[in-house]
Amino acid sequence: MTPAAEFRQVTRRFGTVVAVDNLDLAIGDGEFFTLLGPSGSGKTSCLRLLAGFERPDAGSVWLGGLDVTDLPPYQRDVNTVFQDYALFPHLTVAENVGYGLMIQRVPADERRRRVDEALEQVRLSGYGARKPSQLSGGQRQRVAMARALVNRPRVLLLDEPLGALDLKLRQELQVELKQLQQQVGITFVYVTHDQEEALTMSDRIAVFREGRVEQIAGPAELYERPATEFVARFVGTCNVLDANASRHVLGREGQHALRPEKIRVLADDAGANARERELSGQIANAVYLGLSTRYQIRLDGGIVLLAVRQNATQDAGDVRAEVGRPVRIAFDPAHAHALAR
Amino acid sequence: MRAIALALHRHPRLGMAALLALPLGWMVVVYLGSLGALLLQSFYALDDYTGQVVRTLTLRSYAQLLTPANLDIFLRTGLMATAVTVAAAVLAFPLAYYMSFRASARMKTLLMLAIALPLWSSYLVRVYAWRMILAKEGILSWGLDAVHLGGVLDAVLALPGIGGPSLSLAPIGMFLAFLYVWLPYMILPIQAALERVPRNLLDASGDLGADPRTTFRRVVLPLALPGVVAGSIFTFSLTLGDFVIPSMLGNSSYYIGQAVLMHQGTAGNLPLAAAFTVVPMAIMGVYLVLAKRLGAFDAL
Repeated sequence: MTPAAEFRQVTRRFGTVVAVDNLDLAIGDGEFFTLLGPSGSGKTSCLRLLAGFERPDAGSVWLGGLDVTDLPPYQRDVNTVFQDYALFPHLTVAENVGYGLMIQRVPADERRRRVDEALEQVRLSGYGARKPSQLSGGQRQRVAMARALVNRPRVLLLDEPLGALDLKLRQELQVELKQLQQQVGITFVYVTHDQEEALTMSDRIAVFREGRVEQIAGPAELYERPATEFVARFVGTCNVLDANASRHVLGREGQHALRPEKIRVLADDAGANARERELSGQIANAVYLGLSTRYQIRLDGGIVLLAVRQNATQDAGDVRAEVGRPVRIAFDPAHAHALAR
Repeated sequence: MRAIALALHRHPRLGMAALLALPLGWMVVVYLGSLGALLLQSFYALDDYTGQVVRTLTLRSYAQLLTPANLDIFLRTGLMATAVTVAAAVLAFPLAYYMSFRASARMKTLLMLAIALPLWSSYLVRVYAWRMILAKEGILSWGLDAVHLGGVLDAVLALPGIGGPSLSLAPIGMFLAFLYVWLPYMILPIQAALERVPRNLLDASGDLGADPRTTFRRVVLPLALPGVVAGSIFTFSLTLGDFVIPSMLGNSSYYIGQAVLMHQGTAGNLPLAAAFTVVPMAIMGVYLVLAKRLGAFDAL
């Protein structure tokens, strides 16, 4: 099948900085695809290359099997939801949403119908006559979504669209956004630096680092089997064991990733089961996080590991009092994942 | 000191009052006060026999405004102010656009300086300079002759209504001088308005399918309109009230500013002079209401 969007050996430089470095990437039709990375990793540049705001210095950009490298933004079948929404302040909500349809000379009555429909889709029916300045941040975000979706683009580009909202609202909208995407069936290309957001919504995630893709995978694959140390550390928290630590902790060669929640902090009377390795050490630090408690455990060899215990059954009590206490830990070595250097 | 600071902290209104006392006093007493006096004066009238101002309220001064000669003055001044404003907007917009969207920071500073520089020198000196430039054997006609375009100048001067024996003695010469002295007041507000247009709105418009021309018409222009209106308030009202340029350039036809000067100074008819002044204010008021109706301030 033809990819909805594709980068072929794309390079984009800003002065001496290489923002996108010889990138090859294909995004499937109907996918929720996330470009994840720290700031300056090139993910936003990629989005702007797709939208047409930037032109590559080398390589080509394809949309739906069409080379669009030389096309200006207004001739590309994509729409963007901007980070700060970029709503037109002099137009009403309905005029903002209908802007693209007006440009395409869609007849007025059909335009009105589709604008109403789009506003309903983002649960803003009845807000059409307001000005953007009369809306809250979350409502503006929804208007920006409606303004882009009403044009039924081949690909919807989203540039950290939830970045300016507070955590609770962001989590709500993450779920809403994912449902909306499944409902309309449009390919979403989503840029974020928030790994949790990426894991929550995406079908596939590309992790960016310094203009290159470190790994492309689904959320579970990315989390459970990170390809590199960078991915392991960027997506979630992780114990990255270097060659020496791997030998000591796992009895294996090479570099490994071991997620803190895979390590059990054993109660005094409990033991490791058959598949598990058991190690002893001392609690160096403990932080109560509500849902869980995070321990720093200094093993007898001096290696420090992070371990997380769900506060599911036991009353966590005063975790600070546990610091300095000797402790045994256990984990299944199968959960330790070898990293490529 | 500490006691005062504490008192101000406890009573924030007191601090605000202290802060605003001086400017507010100035605004109310000196500014609005004299404006009120002017308005009141316009409702008095001159006794034709004694030449004294009679302090009873009457509309006689306003009735005097309606003589054909005076209506001519309003029409002439209004047309000049309109022409100057339109021309200033047409000249200013591209420059302001270039400054805020295209120019480098260095270039912007240089242009800003170039625009403000004339304002540092005396207005009178500059108008005299224009008299030299526009005079019969002046720089402009000399320069045009040198490139064999003297005929064009002659053709322009032959035009009825705006022509004359030389540029300095023709309405078109006045127009050029007005345009020169008020242009900065048009450029700066437009530039400020364009500067405030978020750049990602241009991206958003293009993203939604608008070509650059449509983006300009649908996004940039509406958002710059308050700046254009602000600039036009300056150029229009400054032209309406000016008496220096009409007395040093152009033909013997009167403009509002000159009429005010004559009635107040030469003729001592302060009420009529005041009534003359109220007219430009009324015109500006109507203009602002119209501008608001047409949505010029929607983007504010």
